[in-house]
Parts: sequence; C-alpha cells; structure tokens
Amino acid sequence: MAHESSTYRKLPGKKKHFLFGVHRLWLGKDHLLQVFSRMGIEDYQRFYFEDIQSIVTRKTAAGKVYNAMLAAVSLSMGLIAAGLDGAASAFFIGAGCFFLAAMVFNWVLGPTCRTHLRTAVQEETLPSLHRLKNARRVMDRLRVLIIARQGEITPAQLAGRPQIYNRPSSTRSRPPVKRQVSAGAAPTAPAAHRSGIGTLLAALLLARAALAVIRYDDNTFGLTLLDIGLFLGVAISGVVFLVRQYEGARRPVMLAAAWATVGYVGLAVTVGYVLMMGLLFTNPGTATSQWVIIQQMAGLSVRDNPWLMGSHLFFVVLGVVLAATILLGSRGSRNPQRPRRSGTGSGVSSRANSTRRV
Amino acid sequence: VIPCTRCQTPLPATAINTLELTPCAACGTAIRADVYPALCQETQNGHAGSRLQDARAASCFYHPEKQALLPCSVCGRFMCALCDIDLNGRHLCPVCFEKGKTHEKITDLVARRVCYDRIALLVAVLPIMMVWITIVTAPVAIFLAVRYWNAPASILSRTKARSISAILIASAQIAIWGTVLLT
Repeated sequence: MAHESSTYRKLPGKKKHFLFGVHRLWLGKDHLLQVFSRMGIEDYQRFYFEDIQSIVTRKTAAGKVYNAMLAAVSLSMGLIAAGLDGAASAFFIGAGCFFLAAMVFNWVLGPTCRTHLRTAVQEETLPSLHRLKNARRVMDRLRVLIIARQGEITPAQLAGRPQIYNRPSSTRSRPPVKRQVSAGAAPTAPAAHRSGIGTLLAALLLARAALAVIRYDDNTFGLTLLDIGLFLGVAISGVVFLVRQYEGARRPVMLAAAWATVGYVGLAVTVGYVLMMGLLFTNPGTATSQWVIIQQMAGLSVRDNPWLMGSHLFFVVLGVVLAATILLGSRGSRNPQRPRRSGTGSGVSSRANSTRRV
Repeated sequence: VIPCTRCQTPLPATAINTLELTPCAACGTAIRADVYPALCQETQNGHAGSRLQDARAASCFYHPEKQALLPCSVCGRFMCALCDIDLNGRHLCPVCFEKGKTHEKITDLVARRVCYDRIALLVAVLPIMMVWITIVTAPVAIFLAVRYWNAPASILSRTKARSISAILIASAQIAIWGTVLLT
C-alpha cells in the first residue's frame, strides 16, 4: 500500500495543558488537524473542510480575571516587602516583580476567547484558539479554504435551516440536554448557576483570612486549632470543587481557581511543614507529640519573624483573592450543561455520504 | 440557526458571518460566528448497494448478490457501493482499509502516535538536572533511539533530528561518566 504523505502547516496559537501537554492546530491540504502532544505521545483529531458547519468564537473574561489576580498578588507582595527589611524584603520584591511580569505578559497576549467547531455530528472546543488575536487570524484563514470547498452560505439557506437543538451526537458524547424553545422566540437566559461547594470553599477561605487577621494581634491555642480545622475544610472542599469542575462544563476561570486553591493548600502544607521542622530542630527535647507542636505553634508571634509575617500576609491576600474569584465566577457561570464535547477522535470523517468517505 | 456558546440563545442572522465580534442579544457576550453551507446539508444515508440484475454482470467480491461498481485501488477486488470507502479520492475495500489502519500505513487514519524519538530526547535531556541518574538514563536514551529508529514518528515531522540529538547527548553523558569513573 502506498504511503500517504501529507504536509501540515502550523497555525498560530497554542494552549498548554496543566503540567504536561500542549494543544496545537495544523493545516492539512483538506482538513484541520488538532494535535494534543504530551511527553512523546500525540493525539490527532481531524476536521475536514467539507464537514465543518461553523466555527464560533466567544470573548471571555478569563484574561481580565488572571490580570486582576496577578495584580492583586503582585501588589500584596509589594506591600509585604514595604513592611519588611533585608533579605525578606528583597525576596518579596523579587516575587512581586515576577507576578507583575506575568501580568504584563498576559496583557500583551491580548483578550481571551473560547472557540468551538461544529460538524454534523460533533461540537469540539479548539483549546489552542484561546486568544482572540489568534482565533481571528485562524478563522480568517480557514474561511477562505472552507469556502473554496463548500461555497458561501446564502441568507436563504440560513433562513431555511431549523434551529440547532438536540442534535444527533457521536458515540462519545453525552446525551444532549433537552431544551424547550418556542419557534421564532428567543429563549430567556437561564438563571445563574451557583455552586454550593464553591460558596462553601469561598466562605472557608474568607473565614481563614479573617482568622489570620485576628491571630495577628492575639494568637491562642484555640484559634490555632480552629485555623487547622478551617484549613482541613479548605483542603477537602478544594479537592471536591476541583472534581466538580471536571464533572461539569469546564469554565476556564473556575478551573484556574480550583487549581489555584489546590496550589494554596499545597503551599500552606509546605510552609506548615517547614515551620514544624523548624520547631522540632530548635526545641528537640520539648516537641514530643503533634499536640505539643501545635501548642508551640500557637505560642509563635507573627511579628517576631519577618518570614512568618510575609507568609502570613501572603496567605491572607491569596485566600481573599481566591474566594472573590470563586464567588464572582460562580455568579457568572450560566447554563453549565449543554450538548457538546463530542468527537470521533479516530481521524475518520463522520459525515455520512452516499459512499463512506474518509 | 447557531446558538450563542454561552447562553444557548440562537444568534440572529445579522450576527452571523459578520467577520467581527457581535454582542449576543441575550447575554451580551461578544461573539463571532462563521457559518458554512455544510450546516444546511441534510445528512444522507449510506447506499446499501444495488442487487445484481444480470447474472453476467460483475458482482461484489464481498457481496456476490450485489452489483460491483468499481475496483479497490489497492487489491483490485470489485466492490459494491456498500463496500466502497472513499479515502481522499482513492477507493478502498474494507479489508485494505482495515489493514492500512492497523499497520498505520494510512497517515490520515492515525489517531494517536507514540513518538519514541521525542521520548528518547526527553530521557536524554531531562535527567541532566539531576546529574546522578544520567548514569542510568543515558544508556536508556540510546537504546530507545536505536531500538525505535525505524518506528513511525510524528505525522507532523519526519526527520531523525531528535533521535540523533538523543544519541549525541546521551553519548556525551556516557563519555563524561567514563572519564569521571576512570580518573
């Protein structure tokens, strides 16, 4: 069998997956190729120009939210550095500059968007087109190629087409959510969806931040125990919140907030571990059990140590920023369930023709 | 025709194919929708193939009771409409199609590929940060690069640059280890 040679041209835009992997789009002679590559494994998905029904991009607020978060963290670092001296101050200035540079970089990349591609049997998100600038360029380029294959749609064709709901979906897709839409009348926007676990997580984060402010002046054993309890609550609800994000419709902002909460927990555990080890080394004879260590931690004053104060303020600011993001994000999330996320994934065109076409 | 991807409200015709961001009437989200004629085409059912009317006419290799329409581009067997698989203008029978898919000889059917050249390069480069384990990983990188030299690489690039780089980097690591251990 002759070897099929195909050449691809790289399209602008890429999206890094969490930890490993990157999404990219490549242009083939008769199709669009979506590649997800991670650690030497590549997954391909093909969308033939003849099958593409629509490409829709929607501007999102994710970029602005990231900028606000980065600015808040950067500002808090600056404020912490202003209150400290020496190496601790230099460290927080450096960290603040890092977050500021990340914010500027994000700002330069431009507004964010979410792009969907629809064929007769699937609707796929194109993760690599998450910046409006790139999405526009790619859509303009694809438009020429698709029109060359399909021609241009006429208003008469558009008018004769029924509204798209309850579409047939491919084998991998979830059953579509039934929506009742009266013909000719636009359905009302669904009510805002508020996640209970998100609200709980935000409340716990805010409570912990408030408790940290109280403990700044007067730290007692009871307050330390309460803080540990709240922290465990944040950790558990943070993991549940993250899982819920993957179960439902993934909103980039909420997903980022969920992962940031997990990062917050991990960072707090690391700081707590370092503090505990420090206490063990400084008081080798006295720290006989966890209970004693907690008592010793309760005896620590934030004002005594600039590093302790810095981390204390950092977690307060981070907690408030995360809680605000989760609350605002859950207010904005509407209609998380809809028919989407399908696809063959096999590279085989799914359009049914008079003959099977691949 | 096309719903807003945020609120699912149908976009008006005036908001479609404008090539610019247009606010959704319901939620106000800026949206651009490019719609193509494939949207208006009804999906057709596949042909089952027509029955053989004349006993002297050519019949399908796989369905003797059905009329042959064309030969397979690879094996030459006669096929009916049901067996015909159109692959970028080439017409294949199900057997040749399956063979091509299984053996990854048809690039257009490859849905996943393990790029051993990339893995070999990662194994050669990443452990450099943890110096000591390169004594183990360098030979592994060379083994991977050599063992899978002829394995199909990514469909996007077909050069051997990564395999060669992996071998060179790993060889350098082994040379350094040899020098250190001998002196």
